[in-house]
Amino acid sequence: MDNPNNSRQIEILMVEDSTSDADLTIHAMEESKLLLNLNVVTDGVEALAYLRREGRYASAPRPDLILLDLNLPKKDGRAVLAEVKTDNDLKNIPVVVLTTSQADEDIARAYALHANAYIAKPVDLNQFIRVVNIIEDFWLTVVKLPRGCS
Amino acid sequence: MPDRYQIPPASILLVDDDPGNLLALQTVLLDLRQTLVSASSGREALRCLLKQRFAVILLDVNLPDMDGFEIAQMLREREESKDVPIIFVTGAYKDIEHISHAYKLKAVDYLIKPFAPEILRTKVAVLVELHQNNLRLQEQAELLRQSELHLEKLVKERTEKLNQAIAELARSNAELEQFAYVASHDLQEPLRAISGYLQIIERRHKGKLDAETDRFITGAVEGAGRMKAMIDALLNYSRVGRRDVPFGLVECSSVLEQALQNLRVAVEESGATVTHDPLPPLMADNIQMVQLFQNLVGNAIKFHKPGKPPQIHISAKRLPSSALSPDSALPEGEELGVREDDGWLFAVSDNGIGIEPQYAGRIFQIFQRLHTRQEYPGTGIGLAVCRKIIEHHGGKIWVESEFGKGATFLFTIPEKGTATDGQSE
Repeated sequence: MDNPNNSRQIEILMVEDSTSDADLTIHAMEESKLLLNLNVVTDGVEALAYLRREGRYASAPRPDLILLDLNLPKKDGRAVLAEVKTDNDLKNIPVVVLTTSQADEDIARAYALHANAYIAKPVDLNQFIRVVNIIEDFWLTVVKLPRGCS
Repeated sequence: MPDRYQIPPASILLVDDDPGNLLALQTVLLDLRQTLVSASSGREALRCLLKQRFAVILLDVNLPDMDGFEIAQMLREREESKDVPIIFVTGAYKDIEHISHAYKLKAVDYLIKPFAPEILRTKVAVLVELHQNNLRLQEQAELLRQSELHLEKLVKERTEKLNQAIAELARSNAELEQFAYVASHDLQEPLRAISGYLQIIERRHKGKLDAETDRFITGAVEGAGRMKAMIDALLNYSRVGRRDVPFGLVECSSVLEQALQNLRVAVEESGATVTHDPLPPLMADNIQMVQLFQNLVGNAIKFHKPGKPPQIHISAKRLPSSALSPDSALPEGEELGVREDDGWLFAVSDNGIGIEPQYAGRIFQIFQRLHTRQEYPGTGIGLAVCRKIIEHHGGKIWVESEFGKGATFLFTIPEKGTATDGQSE
């Protein structure tokens, strides 16, 4: 593989308040061939602080991909999505909404706020792993992304 | 007119400056048993007229202070007395000028003395009755007005209550919506945690666990999967009837085609044959109709006799609206004279295991199953969803079956399907 993304560690920010969902994602990524660094924050306020390198996130790496849950404490995923996609420094980071909700309203709303993809979390672990692998494969290997400008 | 109201005696005003004449009038009218009021001058007469209303006035033309015509003129100019009947009584003015003057003042009569007492009494009696009938009418009009007011108040109160109920309904619908969302989201996260962690344990210790532990883990994971399926089914059930999608023209044959497409695997695996009569177009919710046919045909396939490929037939027959209930006799092939609100009777028949009659009602209830999951898998909600869809379209659904001899699911859909109005029995 001569994918340039392959040559360095790939940074993923996961915004997820459920420890179990975060664990399942970590478990799924353990099997990845890519050099992945998964950072987990548990609410929307933390997510934006991380992305803007505020406070204790002053030296946080710029993520190559954001996995965003919708229903979060403090600031929910929709608000985070809206802020990221209207922020000139952040808006070209791909955001994959990874949530339990399959409600039409949530799907429509997420795309209206310029989510790059919307994925419903499967309950079954094997399917969950498959989904995470597809996300990795597509967003981190297949797709050409702009060079990170950190 | 029934005399439901206690009418007080009428007042009669007698105006004459001659006490002898007054006495004579009183004597004549005594038998009428009404209240007689006497005045011996124009001034006194006017004072009486200001104080009360009279059924009739007997007015002498020639009075010392003012003449009877002046008094009549004044009465006619006042709103309260402009219609009070006046009978002029005179012994002096018999000429046509006086008489016509009296009638111009809307006098009901002009009596010239001497007159027969009987005639005077009769005339006054008629006027008194007229007056009392008027009073009754007024009283009834007042009663009517009051009952109208009462009715208006009632309508207002009911409307308020109705508005409150509507607001309450909207609130509870919103709450249900919220509940459904919470159920779909928050209840699934712990489920995923249970089955996910168990599966991670299973993967990490593959081959190191004894067979029974493996079986326990599998059982727990499957349980979580079933729970997920039930939550999804429950959500689906709760959404039927709350969709505000307006009904559109739906071709039943393409709806059936879509349902069979969704059931392709089951049809192929079971070797099912599905046939149908010409099916009509309907005003309906397209997505729900697909789900309805999919559930009914899916059930017919699922509950087939072992070793006997399912044969399923769907038919439709036109019905007058009066027959749109399971209890009515169904007329044969009445194609003519159909009314706008007529509808259709559909039947989905199979050659499967059938249903024992005592369970025929229970199968449409939520989570009611007649078989173990090992015999026939499923959440036990499919037919409950069917019933809700049919009710949402204003129809009915029921089953006719003999155990072991297949089943026929019948349902009606009125031509103008309405969201709320179920057909009455």
